[in-house]
Amino acid sequence: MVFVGRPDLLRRFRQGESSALEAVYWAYVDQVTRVVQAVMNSYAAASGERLMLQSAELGDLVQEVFVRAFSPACRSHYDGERPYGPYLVQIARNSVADHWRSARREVVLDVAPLLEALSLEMGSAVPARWADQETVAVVERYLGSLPPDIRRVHDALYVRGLSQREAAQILGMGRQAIRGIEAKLRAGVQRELQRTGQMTDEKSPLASPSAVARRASAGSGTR
Amino acid sequence: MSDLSDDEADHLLSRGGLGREHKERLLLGILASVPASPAPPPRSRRRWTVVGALSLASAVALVGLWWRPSAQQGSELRAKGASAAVPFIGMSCLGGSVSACPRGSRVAFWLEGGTDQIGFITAYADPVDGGERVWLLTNEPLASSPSTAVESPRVIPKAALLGAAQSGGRYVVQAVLSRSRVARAGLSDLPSIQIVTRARFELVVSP
Repeated sequence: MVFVGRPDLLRRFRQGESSALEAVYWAYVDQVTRVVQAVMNSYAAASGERLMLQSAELGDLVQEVFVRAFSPACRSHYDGERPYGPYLVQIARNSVADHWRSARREVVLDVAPLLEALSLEMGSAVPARWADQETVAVVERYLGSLPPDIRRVHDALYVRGLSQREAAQILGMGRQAIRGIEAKLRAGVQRELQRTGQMTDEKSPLASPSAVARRASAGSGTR
Repeated sequence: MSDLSDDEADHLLSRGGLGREHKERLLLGILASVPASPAPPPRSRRRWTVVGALSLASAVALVGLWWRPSAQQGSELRAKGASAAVPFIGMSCLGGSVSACPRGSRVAFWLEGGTDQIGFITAYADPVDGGERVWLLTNEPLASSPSTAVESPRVIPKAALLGAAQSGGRYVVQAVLSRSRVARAGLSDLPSIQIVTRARFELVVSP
């Protein structure tokens, strides 16, 4: 929907102007992230594998999607008539399939109907499987215990995805204060994970055995 | 017990999403990999536009991307200028610097100068204090461009991920740009005719 009523943005996007690419990126990055995660989960589930994407790997995949989407060929293929979201979803699916193939050397075919049903519009409805149950429970308990003023900052930074500057403006706070609360949130979630035993060397919330094994098989920057 | 990186903490705090700083770094890499528009603004102005739009952290990463670390001056073969026929290989740590590259960061390579549109980058890192070789990229193709003009610098679209289990310490990174795909085992014996250029860097992986 980013191009609706904005022919100038579409023109600049097709020309590859950085400001236009940035606008499209920020309009879709969260939704693309959810779709990438959902597609990876679909492949993993179809393979009977438990998969927890690390943020670095997730970021790499999201970046790959946009690098492809912003290539001259993809920009010129987009007709500007249809919604841009489904076009991005198709690119995301292809990128994840390539990634899965390179790691696993096969793509499970029976997830195709599920992937066909995926769209950016339903991205927010995709079941959240971003960590194991215990970790999710600890994080949710921690977020639920936040005092209202801290929760507002969390909502601005981590739910609405605002920058520190934007959050400071909207909440009427200083940017330094926002930065301090962000640091406390990061330290707080780590402290809770450690306190509940979710962060030992054997049991890291973000380094499940399957994820480690998968990364090793991918061979990118690992031994 | 290892600490969570800011990216990992943000990943949890956003319930599986990506933190703002992480997203800004991704955008930086994306913009760097997109060929310029037919009538781009002057490069210096474009850089400052990007810098202005991003946070300090991203700006630091940007400097890392365009700045040639001193270790790179020791490249065995490099172009004398951006328009030289033989490209110069550059390396950057997108999550820090080549002298302190945290685990979980990505190591990116880029070319400056040269006119070849087809080529493959292979890079590996050897721990200075001994240990197993780490393959960073294997036969990663240069980004194809539909136009005959070759942008400079050209960032290799895929960056290598330094995994959480990566040992810290100093590494010597060797990067080779070859005309065709090469076998890892045969890299050291590669005929010079197949090599466009190669470079050597120092990389320090920090906890």
